[in-house]
Amino acid sequence: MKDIISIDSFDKDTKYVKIKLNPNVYNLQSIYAAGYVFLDKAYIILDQNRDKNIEVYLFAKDNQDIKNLGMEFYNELINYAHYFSRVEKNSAMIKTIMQRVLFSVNPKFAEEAEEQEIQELLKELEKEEPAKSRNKYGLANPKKKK
Amino acid sequence: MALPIQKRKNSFYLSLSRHLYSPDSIEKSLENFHSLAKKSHSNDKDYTEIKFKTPDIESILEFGNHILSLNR
Repeated sequence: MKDIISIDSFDKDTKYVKIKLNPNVYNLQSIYAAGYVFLDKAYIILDQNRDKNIEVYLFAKDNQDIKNLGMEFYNELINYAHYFSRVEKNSAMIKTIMQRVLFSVNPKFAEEAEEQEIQELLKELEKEEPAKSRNKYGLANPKKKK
Repeated sequence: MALPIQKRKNSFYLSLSRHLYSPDSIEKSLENFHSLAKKSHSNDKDYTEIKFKTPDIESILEFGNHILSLNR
């Protein structure tokens, strides 16, 4: 605990809490998101140390308990780390649901998407056909007589 | 690593890691705080150093919050 959260002071009136974060555990996206939530109640400075760990410096804006502020920041980090990992895992499902919603609003979208898919398949078939029908000399194979 | 805000020769300096703060958001914040802050020469290529014309710590910290708000 001592290593990951520490309290120090800039001058006699300005205290801050330093939080050390492993970027393999908390990604940058989660750190920025948690920091953004804290902009109203704290001043935040980010830094990276020699071990490539992220250091978050929090200065309270009002007379809030500085240690509590640090703990709350950790909770917010967990919240966003969980949120982003869920979004990543469910991205394919979210995409499918959104497509269905769009198609149900306007069935024309579905028809257009289907038509586009058919055209792409036809193009792929057209590309494959000439390759199959040519022999090793690059000449078209003669059609077999029945 | 010490606090990235340091006092040298009666001026305050803020060192911002280029890995964490985009140059674009730093430039935009400098435009916004042009009367208080300016970019300073830094020997460390991984950091952008900002020199402040004010000794007011709150203004310096406000600058840090402004960049973070743009960085997201």
